[in-house]
Amino acid sequence: MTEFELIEQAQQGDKEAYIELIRIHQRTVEKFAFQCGVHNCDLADVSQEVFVKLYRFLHQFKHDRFTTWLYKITLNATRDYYRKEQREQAKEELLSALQHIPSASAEKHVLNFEEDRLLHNAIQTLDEKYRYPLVLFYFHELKYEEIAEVLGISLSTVKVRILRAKEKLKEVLLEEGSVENG
Amino acid sequence: MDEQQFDKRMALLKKSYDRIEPQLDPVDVVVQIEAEEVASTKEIVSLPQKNPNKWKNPTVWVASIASVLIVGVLATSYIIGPPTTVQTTEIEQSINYEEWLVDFTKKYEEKREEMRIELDMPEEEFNKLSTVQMASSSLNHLKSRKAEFLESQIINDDFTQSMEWSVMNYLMTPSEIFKMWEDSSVGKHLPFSDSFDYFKLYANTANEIASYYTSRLTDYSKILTTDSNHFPKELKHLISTANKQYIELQSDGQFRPNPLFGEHASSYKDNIHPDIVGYFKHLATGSLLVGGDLRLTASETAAILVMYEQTLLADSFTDSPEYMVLKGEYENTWLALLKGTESFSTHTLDGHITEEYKAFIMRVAEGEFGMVMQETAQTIVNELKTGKSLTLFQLTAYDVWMGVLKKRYNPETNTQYGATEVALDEYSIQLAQQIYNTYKQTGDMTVLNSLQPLNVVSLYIYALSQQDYKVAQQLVMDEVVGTEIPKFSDMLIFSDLSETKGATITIKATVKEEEQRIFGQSILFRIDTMTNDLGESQFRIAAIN
Repeated sequence: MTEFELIEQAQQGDKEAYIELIRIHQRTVEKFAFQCGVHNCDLADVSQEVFVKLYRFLHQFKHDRFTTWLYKITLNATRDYYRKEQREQAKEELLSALQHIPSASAEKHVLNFEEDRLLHNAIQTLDEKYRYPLVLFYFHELKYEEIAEVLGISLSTVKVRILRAKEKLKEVLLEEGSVENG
Repeated sequence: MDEQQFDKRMALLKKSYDRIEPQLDPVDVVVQIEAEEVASTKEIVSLPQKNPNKWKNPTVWVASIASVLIVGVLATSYIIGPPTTVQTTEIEQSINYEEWLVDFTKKYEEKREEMRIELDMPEEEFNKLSTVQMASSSLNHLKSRKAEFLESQIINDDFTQSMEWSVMNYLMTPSEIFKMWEDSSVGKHLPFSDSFDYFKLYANTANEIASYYTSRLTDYSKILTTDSNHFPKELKHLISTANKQYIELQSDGQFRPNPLFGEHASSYKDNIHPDIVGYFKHLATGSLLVGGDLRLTASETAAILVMYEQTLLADSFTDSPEYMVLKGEYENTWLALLKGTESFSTHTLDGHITEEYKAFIMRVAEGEFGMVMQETAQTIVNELKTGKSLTLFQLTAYDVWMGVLKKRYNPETNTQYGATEVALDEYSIQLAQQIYNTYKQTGDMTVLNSLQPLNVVSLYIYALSQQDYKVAQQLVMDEVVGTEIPKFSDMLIFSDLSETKGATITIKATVKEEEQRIFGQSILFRIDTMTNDLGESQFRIAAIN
């Protein structure tokens, strides 16, 4: 069964088809949520929220790109996660603590290498307007047009934000001393 | 850290992300959906929370086991798919990649040379520009990491196009950056943060180019003070080349980027977000103090500080290097203006306040030069009537900064700039929360009465999300008509507010796509003015639809 057929089945209330759709896309959702700053221990909850929301308005889906739609919902769920749980503050404290004790993190169980954890944490310090396009470009290989669609911004803004995100990330990495200048 | 190092680390992190094990059990989703369907009542209140004891429900067990069995069958059919011709595809893609890289390198070289000629820079100097170095580094990166890109290209056919953009974006002249800015904002006002990104992109490149052009003036130092009509042909050409990038030769013999205020300003200048103007003015002006003294007259200097003030009050990223520089310039220049300098002294030789200073401080006190220093100037004026001003004596840069901070957090000055559309993001929610808290703590009706229409609606929505109907009621007229809004606990169910001004003011609160099933597509608020007992008018909600 193709993805489109699965969507059609799910629209008609076929829960098994919907479960299959979830299986196809859950890694994308979980990875994106994690890269956007959701903690490892909350990934299942946030992803569950995403797929519940997705189901609620699945009947509205026509011929749009399903994954673009999914990214949008995940993004909103991630933002809600921050606000509802007031995680931003906790995140800052965590990141601040991580600068001194880099390995004492829940992310340690997810990212095995110290270098990866440092980079992951550095990405989390970026403002969301830089973080999201960077993540979608580098880790999800979305085209600029797709990023523009997901984030609801213009193509040129996407380009500028990715450039700025890279600059900022390099600054953070240099400040942390995890790379050498040059 | 060069492009190659950066991309390598990002690629490694990507691989680590790809290794993360899935955590969600899809069956849980279906269980929650089914639980919500059962719990769904006629009420329009939001969905119930996840039930931690869901597994105690036997019907859930039956549904779940059945689901798992069916999924197993489905999954098997997915796993046993037809074999793919991966090897053939890889060879084809490899050839395509080689061809693309040759073509793109040619395109890159052409664009690079075009830019160098347009800027009229010798290769050695042109190659020093950081943006050119970034472009070169990005291109080399493509050459040296073919295998990795090849892998990416198989996944995404348009990857190469994105790569082209990421390299070519570095090869933009300052005028091209401005053009890109203009194109991206056709028919709309770009928000401040996006405008700042374009400013930074322009400023970084334009500053380096302006420095190079200034270095070329050493041969002409004696001629610069003469009539420009008599400048040699080469100098005229240099000035003309710089002007095309909105870089101008200034009276102090320096080339500076000046895209908004100069004779050769960009036609886009009128559409630029007014809060970003302070950064551009600083870029075009440079330091207002030379050796502790004023470069311009006190009035001219203070007028420029007004532009800086607007930016310092509006920019929320107070730790950016650009903000810190502007802040320092603002503080030091105000201190010099108020405490006096060699050419602008506060006292005469016999110890009296100079007439020039008196007139100036009076204008500051009257608010002619912005609001931040107005209050301080009023105090100084009053104290000087007795001959001495302790405030002036004790004034430090910190006091100037405190003046900025006081105005930054004053809700009355915190209105959304001329926007017809405001995204309901974290920032605007914080702003609504700030106004709400101020009103709740003080009970001061002037907080509500001074709100602009967008802020009235934003606060109304915020109050509803807090289930504070008392505050919400304060924002609507007594005879308000309209439909009842479903209960919600999160302002983020809305994506944005847009204001339309006609015979009446209408504000549309757009509901996020995924929430529309519950809350509808949007809620319309009609705003009218009402007059209180003191004859003051204020905005209130007159109707909700």
